[in-house]
Amino acid sequence: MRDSMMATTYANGVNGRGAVGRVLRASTTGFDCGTRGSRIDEAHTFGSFVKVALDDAHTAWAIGLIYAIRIDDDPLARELVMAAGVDNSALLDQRENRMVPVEICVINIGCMVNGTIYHSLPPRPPMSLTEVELCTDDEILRFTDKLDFFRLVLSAREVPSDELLAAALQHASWKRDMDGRNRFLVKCGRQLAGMLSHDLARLAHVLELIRP
Amino acid sequence: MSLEFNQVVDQVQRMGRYLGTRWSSAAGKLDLALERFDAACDLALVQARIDMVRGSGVSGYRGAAPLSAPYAEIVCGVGEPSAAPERATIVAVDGSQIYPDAHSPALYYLVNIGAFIYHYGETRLPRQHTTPELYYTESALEDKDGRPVNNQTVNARRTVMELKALAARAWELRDDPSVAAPIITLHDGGLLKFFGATEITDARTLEKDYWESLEKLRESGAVLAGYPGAQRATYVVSLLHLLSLPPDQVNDANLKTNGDLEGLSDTRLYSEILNAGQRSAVMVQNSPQNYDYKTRLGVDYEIAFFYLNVSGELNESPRIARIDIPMWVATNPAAVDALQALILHQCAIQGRKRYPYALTRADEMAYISSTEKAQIDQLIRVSMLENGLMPEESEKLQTKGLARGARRQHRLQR
Repeated sequence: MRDSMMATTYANGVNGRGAVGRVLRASTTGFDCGTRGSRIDEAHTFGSFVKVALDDAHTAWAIGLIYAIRIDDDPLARELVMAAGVDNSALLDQRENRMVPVEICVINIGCMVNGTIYHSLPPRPPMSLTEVELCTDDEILRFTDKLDFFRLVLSAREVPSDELLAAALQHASWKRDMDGRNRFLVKCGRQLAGMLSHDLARLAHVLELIRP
Repeated sequence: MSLEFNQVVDQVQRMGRYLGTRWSSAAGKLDLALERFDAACDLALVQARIDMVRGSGVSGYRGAAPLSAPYAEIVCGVGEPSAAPERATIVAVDGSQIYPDAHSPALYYLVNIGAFIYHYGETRLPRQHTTPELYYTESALEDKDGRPVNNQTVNARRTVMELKALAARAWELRDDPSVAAPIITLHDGGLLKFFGATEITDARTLEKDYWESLEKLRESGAVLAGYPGAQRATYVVSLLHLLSLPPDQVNDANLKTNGDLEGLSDTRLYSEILNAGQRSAVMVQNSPQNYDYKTRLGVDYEIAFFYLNVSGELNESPRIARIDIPMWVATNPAAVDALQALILHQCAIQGRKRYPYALTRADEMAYISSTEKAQIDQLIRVSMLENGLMPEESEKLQTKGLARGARRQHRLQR
């Protein structure tokens, strides 16, 4: 049940061109992008693979994972929450008219230059207001064909790295058929066992999160 | 020099003690006022006393008076909330401004009008509009003698623009088949406006425009209400004082103050009388301005008012708001009932802050922040440069800006 639901919602995000938002601030290690509250949908999922162009010609792309989604409040929203019941029209007004800003935080885990994928940080950050998109199924399959990006995620600070890696691997596994999915997750488990052999508690936790 | 807080704190504490004493003093008068309020149930007696102060010998009474028959309501009565209409449309308009600044690179002022349309009884996206207007010509910035217009004039012009916008929206919605009646139009403030010719440039023209907007609103069939909110008005307390005077003591000298009720406000009085959702009787304020509205514009345009407890629950502290309505609304009981119910609904949307949601949003639409003002100034500078002008702030402002800039703190070395 969970598999089919997730597969459907993920596909919907891609069908809708997978627009995530536009870059607000960026560095080579990651970037934050913003969008309106009314636009938030399946494209904005913890652990999703996203990409952003690094040049106007779209030859170089940074590839990252969504690790946080923030919706800020304001004094009016706080008062509406305190009402006995939230008025439906006021709810629509808040979401559509007042443009509740949503910020999506992304950690870079690789880049793609002239179609070739590299599991290293991008050469430069994207410019402000560049559109951020979901990676296509094919890009996710190609990117996760090798697992060298694990180290970038596991060593990232101020990121829930274990949960993020597990969510990303689950996303990547849904792009494969049932056999391929199992093989992929077993391969990921072996890679993790090698990398986290010094921290068995952490290893057990991550393995539990990606258990097929 | 910075504000010396050590000197101000002492004054703030003295102010707190003064306010506390005044509040206690008013509390002592409350019982007396309530006693008089409960006794003010004979409409004929009240009307006779009002007739007396409207006679030729007395001119200083500025308190409340019942409406004329057959619309008069008993002063000591309260109105329970009725069920709201199934559907209704609420239009709120508010305005904001950037005042003219003699030290800026170019003299201008800007008025921004925000409008918000809420569809009650249906889940539908509210509509919002803003209309900014920039004024920069000599005719807008100077009076007929070439003196710069003052901030009161800008405020008065903004008020007139608000009412014009409200009237325009009411007419637009009147012809929209998707919009449900009644159309309730809310103005953020009292409706009885006084445009003083000594302070306001073109006061007579502004008054004429304001009255034309009222006429347009009436012709549209809209229910108009002004929302001054919590006020220090003493209209009803003044009436209770008047009723307490022996007939031979009813004169201007005794009506200059509220006698033994002086210091007590209507909101304090009604916070003891009105339960959640209840309203006071609809009354008018006895004043030359209101008389002017009635005689020059017509009986439908005299401004009436009622007090409403907009708090949500019986155990919640009372929140008393004054609602101004023109006589064409006051003499329509169905319109008053609908207005009472819909204002209560609007106030309930925001939870603890009991204020009409539509007015909150209209204010948000209209508000010009200091950042936006700085951006407007920057745009004007760019536009002046494009036209071969060198925009410069006055020496005075530039020098003040230097001293007012962010100050560095002395830090101790670690």
